Amino acid sequence: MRLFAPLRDSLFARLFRRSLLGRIVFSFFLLSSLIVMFLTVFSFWSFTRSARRQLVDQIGAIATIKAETLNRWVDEQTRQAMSIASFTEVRGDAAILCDAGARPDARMRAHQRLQAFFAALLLNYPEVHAVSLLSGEGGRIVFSTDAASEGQYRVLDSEFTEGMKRTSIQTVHPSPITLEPTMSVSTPVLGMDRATIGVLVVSLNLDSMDRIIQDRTGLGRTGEAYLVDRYNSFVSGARFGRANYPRGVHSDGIDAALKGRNGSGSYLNYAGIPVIAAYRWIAERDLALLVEVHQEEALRSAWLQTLLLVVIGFSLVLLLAFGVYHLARRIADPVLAIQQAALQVSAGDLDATAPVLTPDEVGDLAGSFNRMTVTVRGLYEELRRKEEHFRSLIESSMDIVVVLGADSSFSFASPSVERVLGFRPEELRTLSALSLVHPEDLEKCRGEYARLTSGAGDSVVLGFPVRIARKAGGWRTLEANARNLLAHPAISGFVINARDITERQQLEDKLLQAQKMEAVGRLAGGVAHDFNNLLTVVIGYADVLGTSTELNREAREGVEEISKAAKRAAELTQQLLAYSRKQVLQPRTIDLNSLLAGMHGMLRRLIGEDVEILTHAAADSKSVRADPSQIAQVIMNLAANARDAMPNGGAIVFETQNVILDESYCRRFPEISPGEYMMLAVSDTGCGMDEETKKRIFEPFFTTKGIGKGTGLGLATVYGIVKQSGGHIAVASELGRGSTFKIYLPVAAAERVAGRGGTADSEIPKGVESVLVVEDETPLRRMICMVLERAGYVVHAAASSEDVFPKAADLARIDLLVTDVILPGMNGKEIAEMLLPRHSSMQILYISGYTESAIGQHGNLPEETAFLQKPFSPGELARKVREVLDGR
Amino acid sequence: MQSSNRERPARKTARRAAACVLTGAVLSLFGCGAQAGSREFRIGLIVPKSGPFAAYGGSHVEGARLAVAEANRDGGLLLKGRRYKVVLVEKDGGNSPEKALGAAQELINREAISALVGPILSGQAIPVAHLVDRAGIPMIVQIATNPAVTRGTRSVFRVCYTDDFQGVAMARFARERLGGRTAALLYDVASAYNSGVAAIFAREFAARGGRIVASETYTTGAEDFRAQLSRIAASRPDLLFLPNYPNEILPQVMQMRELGIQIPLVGSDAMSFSDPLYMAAIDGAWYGVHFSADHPTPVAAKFLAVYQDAYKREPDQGGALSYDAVGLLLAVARARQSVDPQEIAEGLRTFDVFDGVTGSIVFRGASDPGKGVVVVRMLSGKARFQTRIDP
Repeated sequence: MRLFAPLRDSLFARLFRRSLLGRIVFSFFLLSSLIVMFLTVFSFWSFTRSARRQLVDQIGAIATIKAETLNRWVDEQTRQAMSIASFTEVRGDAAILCDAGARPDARMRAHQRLQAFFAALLLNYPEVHAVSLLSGEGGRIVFSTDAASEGQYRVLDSEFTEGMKRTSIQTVHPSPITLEPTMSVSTPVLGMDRATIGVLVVSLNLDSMDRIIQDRTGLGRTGEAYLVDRYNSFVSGARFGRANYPRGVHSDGIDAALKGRNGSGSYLNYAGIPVIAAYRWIAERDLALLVEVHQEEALRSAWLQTLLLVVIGFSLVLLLAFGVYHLARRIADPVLAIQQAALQVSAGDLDATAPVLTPDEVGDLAGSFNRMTVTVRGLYEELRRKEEHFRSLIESSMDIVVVLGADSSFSFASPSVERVLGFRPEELRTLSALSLVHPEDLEKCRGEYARLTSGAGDSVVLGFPVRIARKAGGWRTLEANARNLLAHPAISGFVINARDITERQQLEDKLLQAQKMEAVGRLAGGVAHDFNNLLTVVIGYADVLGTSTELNREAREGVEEISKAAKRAAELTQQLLAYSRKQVLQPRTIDLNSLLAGMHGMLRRLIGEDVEILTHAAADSKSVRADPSQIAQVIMNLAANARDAMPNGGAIVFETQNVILDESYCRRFPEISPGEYMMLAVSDTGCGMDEETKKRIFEPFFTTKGIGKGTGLGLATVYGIVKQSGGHIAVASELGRGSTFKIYLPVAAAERVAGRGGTADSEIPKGVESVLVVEDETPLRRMICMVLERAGYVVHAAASSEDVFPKAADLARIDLLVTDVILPGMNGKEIAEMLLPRHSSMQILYISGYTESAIGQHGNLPEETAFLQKPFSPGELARKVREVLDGR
Repeated sequence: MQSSNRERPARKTARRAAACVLTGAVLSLFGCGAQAGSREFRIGLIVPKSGPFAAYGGSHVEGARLAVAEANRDGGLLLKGRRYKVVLVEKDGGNSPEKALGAAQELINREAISALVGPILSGQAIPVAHLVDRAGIPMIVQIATNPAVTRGTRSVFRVCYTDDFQGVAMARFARERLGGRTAALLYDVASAYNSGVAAIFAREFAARGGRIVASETYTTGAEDFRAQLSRIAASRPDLLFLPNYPNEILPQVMQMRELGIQIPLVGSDAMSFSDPLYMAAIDGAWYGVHFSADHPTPVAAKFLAVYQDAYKREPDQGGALSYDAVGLLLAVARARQSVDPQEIAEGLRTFDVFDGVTGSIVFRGASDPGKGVVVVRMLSGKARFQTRIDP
């Protein structure tokens, strides 16, 4: 379509290129228009050619007729002049006038006669303009109807010179006198003697000739005929102003005619107007005759016919275009329908179908297209399902899946990221992954990133823990697996699969802590057992020694010191046991408010004057089940700890509260179960603790106090006791703002509140009952036996179950069985159960350094069970024995 | 011939333009403009080359050709930086007015002349002058002396004196230098020139105290003058004035000898003719001329040399006048820097003095210049300078 190159960008050209229909219609239109135009041009050429020919024939005939008419007219005038000249009366009078020797009166009469004669003649012959008589002598005009010219000599004029010889015609020429076109016939006038005496010159009226020439019959509106003399001058001045043509008139026709040619042609006439003309050279008259018709008029009918043809032709073209349009529509519509469907499909509407409108190839095409769309739709559906499958896999994953660009920007983030980090996936698009990493992990991350991108290894990072910031603040620990897929065209990034392991990590930490504590406790427990035995012996003997009167004062003081140190050691052991939860608890249903109230004096003494004590007791306080002495120990330890945090004074607040720990709270602390708890909070206004300290405060032997100031077991003991009592301890502390320890103890099922039992009597009670002592530890057994014997009791001793039954079989009565809980072979409880059937009144007192499952779960003895914690002093033993025997 | 060709090229241009339009040729402008190629200054010359006056034509043609040749020697006229070749278009005027008119028409209509020189006969020059004047073409009349030639025209000028002055001058000469008291006349009454000069001479001679004792006439073509000559002889004049043409004078003189009539002859400028037989016949006659080789001016001397060189003989007054006529046209074309007929005609109307070989030609706004009559006497076959009579 080079033809339309300049229109390439025009609307038309675009429509043309885009529209099939438009192209067909336009092409037909163009083609048929070209044909019509060709036909028009050909017809115009043909019409004008025939019109030209016809006209040339016509004006050629006219020209011939005019030339002949002109010649006939001139011949007629010639004959006329000759006949005039031959009139006798003219000849007679002429002879008189031409005779120089004639008498003047005769001349005058002759002149008058001629005047009358020619005046009459001129009236009858309008073709005659003037008549002159020239004398043979010098060509003098002796008579003329134009009186003014009489007397002139025309001796050299051809009218005269020729006329003297014979009748001659002076064809059209400018008169030497007037310069006007003139034609004259001159004929000799013969005297009576038949000699030439003069010349009669008859000037012809050129108007008559003009009328012949200018007769426009057959020449139409614009036609004209005219004569041109041999010098290109118009011969008729009447019609053509000579002044307009000072250089004569020129045209192809005039030039040709003046060269003596006859013919016809189309050219521009003397006035520059296109004409169709015929020209004749009338040799007899030395004149060119031109007959011209303006081409405009001549070809008007050709133009009109052509115009009609154009109108009809283009009407037919339009009709054809209309028809082609409808035909093309019928052909193109099915195609357009397919195109429409294809457009819909390409726009995404896969349900679009092309109507099968015709049974031909286009119909086949539509059918094929529809089958294709069905196939595509199936494939698309399959694809979509798969995509959805994988997408939902990703999106429903608890793990976070993200894709990072090479610059660590997020190019994809699974929805789970919002659940874990609080960021919506789209929010991450603007963030760099590294900006979310915990500062401490940043370097590690960069290292891993470098390793990933270096290409070393398999470009995979597995199980990489990293802390990532949450949107709301705080950190989550994620375990990330990363793979470098920068080279993968579909991903071109790092694919990171991360799992939130924050809780797991915390649990692991706690488990580790618990295991550590367990180990420490186990160790401590083991040591304490033996220690207790040893200390019981030491204390026992020291006490015995101390009461001996045989010692001097110095020795007695030494023994007391031993006793004191042993008791201190015993306390330590006790604490270790408490921490390791191996001590034997004697839980009672107690009211914390009462307990606190009872301890007020003691606390006051412990804390000192500088620190204020405030107590907020819960009004709806409920009972808890716990060993009151142990809880007292807890309170004492916490108070001491608080005091130590406030060297410059402050306040300690004791608070009890009835709380319910729900599931969510308990989830964070797996060792407790949801339910009703009593909370005991001990708050101080002291220096507080940092995070690191807070983590370790419950570790045994961890202390922030100076060497020798604390044992590092205070809080560990608290922890152990609370844990052993089924409770839970939480600490909140901020540096400089003080600390709060919250102890949660489960609310007791029943309301049986017991006060604290036992007395601290210094007097050793005595008895006479039969006591069986079973203790595998010989020094301890001997010490116990000694103390009891000295208190008056009948004491039988056995080292183990092997010993005890033979011995017991010998005894008629056993009032009390004092037995170690843990023994080689049968334990204390089993021994007791073996003995009870025979000695049904037998009381039982267990002694033990720590508890094992042998006695009670978690070392808790039934409330009615008598128990004496190792180490004990002789007094304590005696009082306990008495107490048990007395059934209290 | 830039503008002298005005009509025809314009028409051709129109025709070509139409052709250009019809053919649709884009180069039409170039094609149409290309015709300005040959530039010419076309000057028409009408002189008799046939008929009884054919002998007169030769020297006019020679003089005119010489002037044209001189102008073309350097490549033509230099007008506005362009060279124009001067072209002389010669036409035979015969001896009839119709013939001269035809020649003039042909020159104007078909030869595209810018200016015309001639015809030499007043009888022809009068109608031709009016025809030419109507076409606006400048015309220089070199030797037709009849006052009627320039009368009523705007673009017709003369380089010769008129019969008015010639008749007066010769009457003065005859009356005062020759001391004639009575004079006789013989002239062609049918010829404008002859009868015109004769009438003026007679009037002036009478006015100066002379007496015309005989005035005989004849008509053109007459051959026998014996009757008239006898009557003249009978009137015993001191001198006989013959304002006729040589072809008439020769038989008249011969018939005088035949009749034994001896009267001193006085002639007009028409008497001058370079024919040995003729010159012998008029020996002793006084007559006025336009130019004499005796006592030449520097301009005339140069002309004499050139003419002698070109034609190997002395120029006569016809050659000198035609030389001046062409020279005047060239001078005006140079002055106006144009060959346009209107421009040249306008130039002539305002021309002051032309220093020609025939003397100073003083126009001062007139068609007929003031110019002296040179009177010579034919003695032994040579026209001898007698006097110069200035207006």
